[in-house]
Amino acid sequence: MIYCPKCGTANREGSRFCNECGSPLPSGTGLRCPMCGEMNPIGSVYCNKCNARLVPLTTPQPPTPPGEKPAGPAGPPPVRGLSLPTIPSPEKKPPVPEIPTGEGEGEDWLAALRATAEELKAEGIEEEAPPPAAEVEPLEIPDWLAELRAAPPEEAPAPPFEVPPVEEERAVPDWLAELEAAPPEEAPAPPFEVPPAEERAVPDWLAELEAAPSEEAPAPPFEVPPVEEERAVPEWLAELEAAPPSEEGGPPVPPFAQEEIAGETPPKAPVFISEEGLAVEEGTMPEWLAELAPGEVEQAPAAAPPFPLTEPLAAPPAVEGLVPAEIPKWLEGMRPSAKREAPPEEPVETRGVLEGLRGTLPASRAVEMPEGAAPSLPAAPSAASIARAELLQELLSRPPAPARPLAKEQRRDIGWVVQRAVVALLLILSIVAPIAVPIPLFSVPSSPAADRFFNAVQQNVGPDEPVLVAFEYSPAEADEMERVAEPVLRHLLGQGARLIIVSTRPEGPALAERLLARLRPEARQVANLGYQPGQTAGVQGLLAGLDRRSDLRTGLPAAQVAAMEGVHTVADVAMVVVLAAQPDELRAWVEQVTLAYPDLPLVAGISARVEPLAAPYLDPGAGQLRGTVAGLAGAAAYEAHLGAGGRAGFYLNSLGLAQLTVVGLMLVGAAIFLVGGRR
Amino acid sequence: MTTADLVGTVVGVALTLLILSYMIGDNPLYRLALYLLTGAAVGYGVALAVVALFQQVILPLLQGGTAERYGLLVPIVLGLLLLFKGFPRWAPWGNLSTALLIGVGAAVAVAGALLGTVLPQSVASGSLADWLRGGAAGLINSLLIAVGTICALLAFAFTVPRQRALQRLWRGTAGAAGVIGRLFLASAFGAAFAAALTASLSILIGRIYTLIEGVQRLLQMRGG
Amino acid sequence: MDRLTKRTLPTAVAVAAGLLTLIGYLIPYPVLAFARDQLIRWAVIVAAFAFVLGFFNVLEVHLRRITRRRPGGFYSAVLILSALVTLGITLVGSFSAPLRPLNDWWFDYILYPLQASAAGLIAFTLALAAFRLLRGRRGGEAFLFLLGATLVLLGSLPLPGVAGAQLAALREWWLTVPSMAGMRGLLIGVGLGTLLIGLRVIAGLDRPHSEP
Repeated sequence: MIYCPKCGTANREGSRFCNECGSPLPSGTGLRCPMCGEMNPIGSVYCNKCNARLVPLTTPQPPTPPGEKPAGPAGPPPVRGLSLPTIPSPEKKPPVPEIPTGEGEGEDWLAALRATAEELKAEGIEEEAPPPAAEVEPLEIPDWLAELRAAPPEEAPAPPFEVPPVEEERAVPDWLAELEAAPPEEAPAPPFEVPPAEERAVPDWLAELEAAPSEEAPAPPFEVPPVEEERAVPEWLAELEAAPPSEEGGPPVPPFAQEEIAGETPPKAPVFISEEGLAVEEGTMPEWLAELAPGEVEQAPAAAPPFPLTEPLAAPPAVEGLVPAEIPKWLEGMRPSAKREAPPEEPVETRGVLEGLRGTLPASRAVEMPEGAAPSLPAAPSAASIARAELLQELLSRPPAPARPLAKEQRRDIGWVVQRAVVALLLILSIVAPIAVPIPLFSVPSSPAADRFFNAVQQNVGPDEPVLVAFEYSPAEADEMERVAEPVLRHLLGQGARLIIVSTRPEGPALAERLLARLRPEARQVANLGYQPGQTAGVQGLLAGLDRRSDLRTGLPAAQVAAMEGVHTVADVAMVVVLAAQPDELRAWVEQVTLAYPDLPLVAGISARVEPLAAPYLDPGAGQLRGTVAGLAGAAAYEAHLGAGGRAGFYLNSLGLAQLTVVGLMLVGAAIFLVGGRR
Repeated sequence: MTTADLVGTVVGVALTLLILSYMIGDNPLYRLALYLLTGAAVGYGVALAVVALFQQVILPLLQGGTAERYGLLVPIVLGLLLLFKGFPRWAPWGNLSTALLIGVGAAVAVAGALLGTVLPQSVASGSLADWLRGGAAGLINSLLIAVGTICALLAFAFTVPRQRALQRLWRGTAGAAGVIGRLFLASAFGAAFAAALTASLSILIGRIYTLIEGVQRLLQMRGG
Repeated sequence: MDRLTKRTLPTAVAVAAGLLTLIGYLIPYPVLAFARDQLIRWAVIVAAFAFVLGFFNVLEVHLRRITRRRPGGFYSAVLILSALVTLGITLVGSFSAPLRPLNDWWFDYILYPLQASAAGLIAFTLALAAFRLLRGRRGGEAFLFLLGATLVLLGSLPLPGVAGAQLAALREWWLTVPSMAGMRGLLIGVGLGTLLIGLRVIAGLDRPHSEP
């Protein structure tokens, strides 16, 4: 438990923010870097911040072969081992580094081990502990030492397995991330298929969710591949809050990311949106901002010692493997002997031992330093090296973090609540009012892009011609996207086209069926080929192998379905229609189709959000998109072409009024802040 | 309206309200709905992944020809290796699978970015002849686009020449271009911000309309 | 685990797979194209496995949170329950036609409202952000940002009349000239970044796959 210094709430071990009041928590026991003063999780080999070595290269070898270790197959030893942590001697001897098997053991392992001890206790140690002790020990220790020297970077607590192809796309956003405003493009395509790393991170997100009071919360859910983004936002935010000054101070980036930062970060990225923490600090987390987050996170988890990583990884087996090895011989020797033989069944004892040991540490520096404070309070005057001097200089050259007086903070909070209430009320009113007073306020917009879409369909799609339709949206965006997709599909079906439906989103196929249930096409006109995992690679996989899939509606192999007659790859279709709710998906489809079949007509029904990004592809000079229907406005324009009134027009008054409201808010806000200064 | 629809409408309205209650402030009910949402999204995603595996692995194994079956051996083995990632001791074996994912993913992304965006977009601004065709307005617009694109790209310029003399020159030109480029970027971001707002407003509108319809339906049920 | 399995082999796999796939795109030769398609097909299957693995990880993490009685355990229980029920219903519905309606019900009345409402909330947070847009920033960029946002919002659904039509035309111009120039620069920049990083992976210089 960590007790919040501000409100006294007990928070779970490893928390970085208080569950109750959201203020940063002391980080618990840590290992202070001799070079820069950064608090690192115990067990780190390199400083997270300046990359200085925390563990001397000359780690003494165990005097005796590991096999003879006292930690024999008897139950207790491993647990005793648990209680023997941290810095063994006053002269800055390093803590026991972790064993590589620990995988991303970024956590304060004391905490982890303590927990384990409890767990073991709960499970009956006798059963669990002994075998691994016998089994692992002889092997692991030397291995570990070797590993330590050979390939230290591996120890870096980087998320294991992030980064599939998207990584590339996401990585880019990284440097753009600072723009924050940089909207869609960078929106990191959701990673390949939510690889485990991402999911592992979830807990983090959830944890943060509780900690971080609020506003970021809403952003997560809709980013579709559920987990990935969800984790992203809060963690990223947390990262920002936790270590604002150190952000670019050369954090912990893994070699990979480092490269990126060194190489790509635009030195003067336009930060006009973020510089004041508009979104972050106030908690208003625009979605596009949220989308950037994953990119940011890409380096974040690697950067900070994210305990969450450990959580999933330090599964019991790992711990079992770890336990004995945590006590190398040389350490074993230093261990205060008798007392510790106490029966391990008492968790209290474990704890007591810890406390006792802690007293022997070169105390003040290593314990309970608030994480955020570490870099900016370069307390220990010990080894002030060049690296550190540079760092300090860098820190000093940056504007100091505004330390706001508490009273002001509270006053602002009231203002904040009022702002929230007013904005919510205005929004809802402007949406509901047109229902009560149904007067058409807005004329049907004209949309050249929608006209081009319409013409492209007329020209390219004849009766019985196959059209590939990609449903790249999820329920989160469906309220808008269905309005866009409906007139488009109605037009295609009216032309007599055969629709071949695919999606790289899990919910895509179901949403397609939902929409088709309203349009009632003939059975032979539609084949729903279902969901394809793999993101960008998935798109390419779809394009190349349509006939390898099976039809969801009939359960038959695609080759036997009427709508698929003569269609093997996307080269056999008359046109590709992408219904994309997110910029990245549009980009992935445009790129992959252009790449493989440059002459294939490609049109897109898109969310209004994607419209600015679609413009360069839509530009006749590039000619990569033959037309787009963007948002409710585009859909209304398209419906006007079709003649029949549709559902999109139904919403126009509400949308128009809400937009006016927002413009009003924006201008009033601008006036207030221009006149009133920074407040 | 069937009973199922009735219950569904009630549930749907309730869940919508739980989430929208966030407008008033963060609260436990909103939290609850959020976790419900996350769980459902994760569960749905994995279910569909399993279905996809069934269709792309199990079915071909059962029905496919010999060659196809052997061809599937590799991804199956790699997929199973990937599951080793769940056990820290064996996790490194999963790196093989990750490596395939990343290698292929990188290649697809590189090819797509190069042939799908960088090349076509670089030549999209057209030639001077194209510009002149549009008359004075067309010329100005085309010029603006060309200059804006180049400057915006330079705003991201990340390398600096080694030589001192060149450095100064570079800072002067690229720096100035970067300033202009950032103006264009700001224009684009403003548009993107508005676009994101429009999209989310559309969704909110859809929600509120659905909410009202749901309540109306329930009231009708009670009345009729 | 030794270096070979941990690092060397994966790097070899990544480099080989990446090179083969890339060459398959760049050189039009049937065998290469076949190899490329096969590799992509494999990757996509492995990606599905990754999803499954990720799911178990989520379960594990939240289960632990419950068993250790950490704060938020209740929410974790909700999450797990919701995930398992959804998984079960969706799987059953996918393989058994008679149970499909249950699947549809769950999708329409649980999944859909939750996701859509959460997305709708963004409008609220963005509107708040809009109000505070100029807070503490001035200058040309802020002005252009504000101008662009205003134009795009006002022009998308024109009020009737001449002014409305002019606004719509202005919006169109904004989206196709200044905004598009910025976007195009951004797209090319992103593309170049992707190229750079992707090529580093394919060349074996970056090994994201071998990080622990």
